[in-house]
Amino acid sequence: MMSGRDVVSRAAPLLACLGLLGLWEIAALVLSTDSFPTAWVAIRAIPSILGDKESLINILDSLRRMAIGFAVGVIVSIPLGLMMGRSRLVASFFNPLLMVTYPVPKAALMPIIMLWLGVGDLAKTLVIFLGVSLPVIYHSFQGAKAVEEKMLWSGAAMGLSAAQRMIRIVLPAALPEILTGCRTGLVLALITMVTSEMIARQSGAGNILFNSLDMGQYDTVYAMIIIIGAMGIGLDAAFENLRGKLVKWSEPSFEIPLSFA
Amino acid sequence: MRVKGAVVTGPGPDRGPVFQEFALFPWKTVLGNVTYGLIEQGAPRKIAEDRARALIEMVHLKGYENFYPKELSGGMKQRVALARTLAYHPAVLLMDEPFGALDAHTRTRLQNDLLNIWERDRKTVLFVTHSVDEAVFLSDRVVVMTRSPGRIKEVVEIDLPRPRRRSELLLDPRYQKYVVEIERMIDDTSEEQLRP
Repeated sequence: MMSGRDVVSRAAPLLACLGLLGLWEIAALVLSTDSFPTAWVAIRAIPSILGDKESLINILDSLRRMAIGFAVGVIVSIPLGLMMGRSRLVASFFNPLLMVTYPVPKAALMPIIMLWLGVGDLAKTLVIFLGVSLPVIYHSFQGAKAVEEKMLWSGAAMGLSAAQRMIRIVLPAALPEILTGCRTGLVLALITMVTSEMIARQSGAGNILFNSLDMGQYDTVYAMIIIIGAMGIGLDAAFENLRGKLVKWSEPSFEIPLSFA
Repeated sequence: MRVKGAVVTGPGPDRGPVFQEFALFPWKTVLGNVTYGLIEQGAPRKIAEDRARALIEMVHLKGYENFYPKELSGGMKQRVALARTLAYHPAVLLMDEPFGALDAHTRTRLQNDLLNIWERDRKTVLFVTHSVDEAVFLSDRVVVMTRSPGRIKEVVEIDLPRPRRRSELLLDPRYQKYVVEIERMIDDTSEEQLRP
């Protein structure tokens, strides 16, 4: 049986969303300009976007690029971050590079990358990759640095080589921190995905959004914002679900979830 | 330092450390922690688990096999750490203040556990402690170190009968004499330090 408090805390995210849409509706009705449709008008535009084959292909293109950029980013960044966290030499080599690239908005690199690689998939995926890498490297680095020395000694005493200790001890010990980085990376992948399509308009969810903005189809613009937002919430919730299973051993017993999972 | 004639330069499978802060693998269950070293050394899972279960029972943690370290108390964690180290048959057990962070009651119980385990395995144990009682109670030989630099001040052979029972020992004047004698040595060491 769920207690009253449980029901409220379960329903809270839904109520918050409804509240936000309600505020939007009221604000749009009060302002009543063409460029700010009501929430209801925007929501009604969603089925026609999702029902349109062309739009669906665009959105799937976006998701494909995002998935590839995210996957490659994670696969490259985790080993790099872990090695940086355990080796002063590796850290001193890559640290300046990261410090220089961290504050640069990755979308700002888009025009240069387009010059080299064109406006196709490769350029956009590369920008997503860059967006994903930095938080994952940073958190993997922090996680590896914080691994207790004694845990590694225990591993060495069991006969693990340095490389085995990296995979069998540093990686699992740093996993909670790594996954925190991956979660940030996932959201950044979505953001860089949309911005890359804003600059290199050719296909994708961002392309639909900005094309309809140019054409003054504001209901489609807001509908796309809702769709992209929902994709972000869905991906984040799915990731949180997975993360919870992978690092069950490290979760504090009293936890306030920060997700829709 | 030499073990079986070989000079020790770093950690290795013939020397099993047990630390004050337990250093368990938090992502492994109790059973996973205890079998870890054995499986790492190529033991078949079945054999590793059988041995681990026996050791877990020996340190009185039967029923906790599938608990994660965060779900255990300090004393329980330290018993898991002991079982984990014993599991892979190190030639020497290196224990660095293993009971230092525990309450007096748990500490006494673990001391008894350690003596029982020793009676069974007869492994060499190198045990670092700040408690003179603990040193005399457990050891055959107590090495008193100076404060800093950490040099050997004196080696005291403890000639007390085994198996040792705490209740008998505490009343034994020989035990009391050892404790007083060693405490006096430590006092001398600290006084030397205080003099300019």
